[in-house]
Amino acid sequence: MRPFYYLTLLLLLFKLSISEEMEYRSNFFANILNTLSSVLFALLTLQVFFLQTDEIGGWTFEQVLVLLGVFNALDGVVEMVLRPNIGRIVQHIRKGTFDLILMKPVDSQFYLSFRHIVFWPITDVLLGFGLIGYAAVSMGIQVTVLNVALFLLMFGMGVLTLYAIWMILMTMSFWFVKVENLTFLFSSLFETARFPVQVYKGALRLLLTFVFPVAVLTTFPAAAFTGALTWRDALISLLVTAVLVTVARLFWKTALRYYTSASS
Amino acid sequence: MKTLWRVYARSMKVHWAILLEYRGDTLFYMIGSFIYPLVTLAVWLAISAGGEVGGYGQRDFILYFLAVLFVARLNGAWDTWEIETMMREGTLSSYLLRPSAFIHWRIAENLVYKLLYGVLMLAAWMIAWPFTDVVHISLDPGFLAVVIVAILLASVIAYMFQYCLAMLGFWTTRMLAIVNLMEAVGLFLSGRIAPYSFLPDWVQATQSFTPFYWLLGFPVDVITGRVSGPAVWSGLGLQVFWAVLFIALYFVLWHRGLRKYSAVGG
Repeated sequence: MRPFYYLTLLLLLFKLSISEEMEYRSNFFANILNTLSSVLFALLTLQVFFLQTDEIGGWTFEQVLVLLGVFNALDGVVEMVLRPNIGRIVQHIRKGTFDLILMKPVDSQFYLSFRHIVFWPITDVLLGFGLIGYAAVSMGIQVTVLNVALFLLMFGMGVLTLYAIWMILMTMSFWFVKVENLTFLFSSLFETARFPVQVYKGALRLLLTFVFPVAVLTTFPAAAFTGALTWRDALISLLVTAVLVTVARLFWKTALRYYTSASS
Repeated sequence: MKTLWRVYARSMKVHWAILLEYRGDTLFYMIGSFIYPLVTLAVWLAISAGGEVGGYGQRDFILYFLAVLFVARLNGAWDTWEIETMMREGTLSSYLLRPSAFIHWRIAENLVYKLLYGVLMLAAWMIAWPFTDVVHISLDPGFLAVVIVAILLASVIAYMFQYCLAMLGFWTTRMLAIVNLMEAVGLFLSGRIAPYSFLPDWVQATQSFTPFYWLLGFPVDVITGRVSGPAVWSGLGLQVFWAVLFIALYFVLWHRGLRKYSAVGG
């Protein structure tokens, strides 16, 4: 519709979140601690696997490290934008305040997706990129412009896909009222993204490439960075993203049609 | 004793009704919790594709992680999140007015879900029995009795550990941060990542000194037959130790905490 309008709105919401968060500065340290401990244990876990082998699904330790960095960055995005918003939609529906949102002169999906942004998990994103950088240095790969551009493109597709999946889950909360369990289901499924999709065999790999596309989320961006991405994979990434974003949008529209106001 | 029995019967009926109401969510929750062990299993299968590693072949890994699935479902506890919300929103107060202690209400909920999970998973295990011998374990009654006791003790430890953590909410608003840290440590130390013998030596050295192995890894090792003989008995002894410790800790924390607690909202 009006892309600039939404971009300014997004920036505004982001600024608002920063000023909100400045009230809770100790959250920053809590977050740093959380981030560091989760990365530490992820590394220890990898160590346990690599004590027994030199490669998992054809990926070396450093390559999996890049993937872990991508995973961490995406996890940061979830904590910043996706998780803070999903819980609220149910409350809006239950309390009837959802009607007020439908009345606002912005797209309801946009508003509900981005109204509440939490700033501090940005440490997860930064640490994720740090890990990627560290792995790049210890592998000694040539970082070229093409490499980085391809990585950023694939990473962007990962973020979009993540958003679409999350949006579909969020829309499901029209029917399943205890949303904690939806987010729990997502977090569990997201765990599959910690490892390259090559780890999974047969039908499972297809499932994780096309249905719950963890391949698009972490495998392809990491492969793009280490130079192992094939054109076929890049194409799959673009296609899956396009389909999922469209499905998420249509699903939202359908759900809205079924929505009948509660109370007030 | 008789009144307590009635309290449980009544509370469990209520929780069962709630469970049925949210059956979709319950199912989601159950499926969701299966994924992490299956992911880890997939990694181990990929690693051991070329042959046995560390004394475990593909079939051993499958049995191990099926046992993890089984035990983890039966020792789950989610009280920290629920109690944190209740403390924050002040709804805890109304439960404090009830004639029986709050923990009985919580345990009743926990039991209802575990009964359902237990029956479902036992049925699944039995259905799988004729199709694949990966799931075959010894059916010796003595062995099965030990397995059941180990799982029961594990779930007592896990539950009381979680409940004690929840009690910290009386003193700090950062209770969930502590819980998250414990989860991360537990993931690594309880045997969810790998059988205990795969963990680095320094981790194995701490085995007896943290509760984590005893609330998951130990019953799993008993089921898969990796722990046997006298080690089983000393293991059960350590489990009893941890269970008693956390129960005692609960009494202290609950009574101190209540004195500290002042309700907000309602």
